[in-house]
Amino acid sequence: MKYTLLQFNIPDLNRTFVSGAENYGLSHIINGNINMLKEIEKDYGTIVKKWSEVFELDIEIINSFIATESGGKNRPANKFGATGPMQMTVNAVAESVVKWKAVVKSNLPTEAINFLNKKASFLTKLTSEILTATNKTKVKVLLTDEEFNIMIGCLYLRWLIERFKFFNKVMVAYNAGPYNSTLLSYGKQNVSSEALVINKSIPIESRNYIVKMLGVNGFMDLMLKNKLA
Amino acid sequence: MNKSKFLKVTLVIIGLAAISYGGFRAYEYFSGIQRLEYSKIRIVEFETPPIAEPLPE
Repeated sequence: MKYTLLQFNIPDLNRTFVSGAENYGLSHIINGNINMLKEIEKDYGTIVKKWSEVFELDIEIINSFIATESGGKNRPANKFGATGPMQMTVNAVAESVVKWKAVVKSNLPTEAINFLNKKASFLTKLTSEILTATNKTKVKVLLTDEEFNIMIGCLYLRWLIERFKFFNKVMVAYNAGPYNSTLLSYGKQNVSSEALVINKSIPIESRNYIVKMLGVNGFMDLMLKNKLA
Repeated sequence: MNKSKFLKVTLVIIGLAAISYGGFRAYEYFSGIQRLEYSKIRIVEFETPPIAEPLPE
């Protein structure tokens, strides 16, 4: 093992995601979610397996992130610029690549460097996270490529894990950004998922994210219960 | 004589290491810890039904 060992509970909080008519506890929604997770495995299985080994992230984790972020669809950029299966943004790409060594305390994996050199060699030579307009456009186009999107999503996820150490905090950081003031106010200490989801100063979307991933009948729960990976 | 003593000690050490590792894995298994390839997950069973309502906004 090269990186931090992730340890967490499934489910981590005694809640089920509910929003309007969407209730993750209802059997038809459970079946729909299981089918979605199966589709994700079918569509992206090979790519996810490859990058899960490089970044030491379990397939269950990556598939659940894809399910929560995009429902398994390679979506075009939304109004925040979040693109593709892992809803990555240009800023997140540049920042995680530039600050990888400072946070993870090791070089980027060779497979990742080779892949980036093949797709966008300027990324491995970056010294600042602020990209030029041309490079920004190049990254925007690259993010619509499924493999680039998932690879960079895994890279970003590993970068966040090394930075925040606890899985529930990583979810808030992935959704609300690593500079969310409430998240930073917790410092290095462990916080229960229940405390995070009832903290109104964290955006509601990020709190729902935790319930969708770590709640009862959440994506991680379904992946493990039904042995979907 | 010395050789057989060395062998005995080695075997006892290996045996003890195997027993303690086995014990550790058994403890993990019975306390509901599932090892995935790169993470350790504790499977939790809640006694009460989950809260099924939207989060406070």
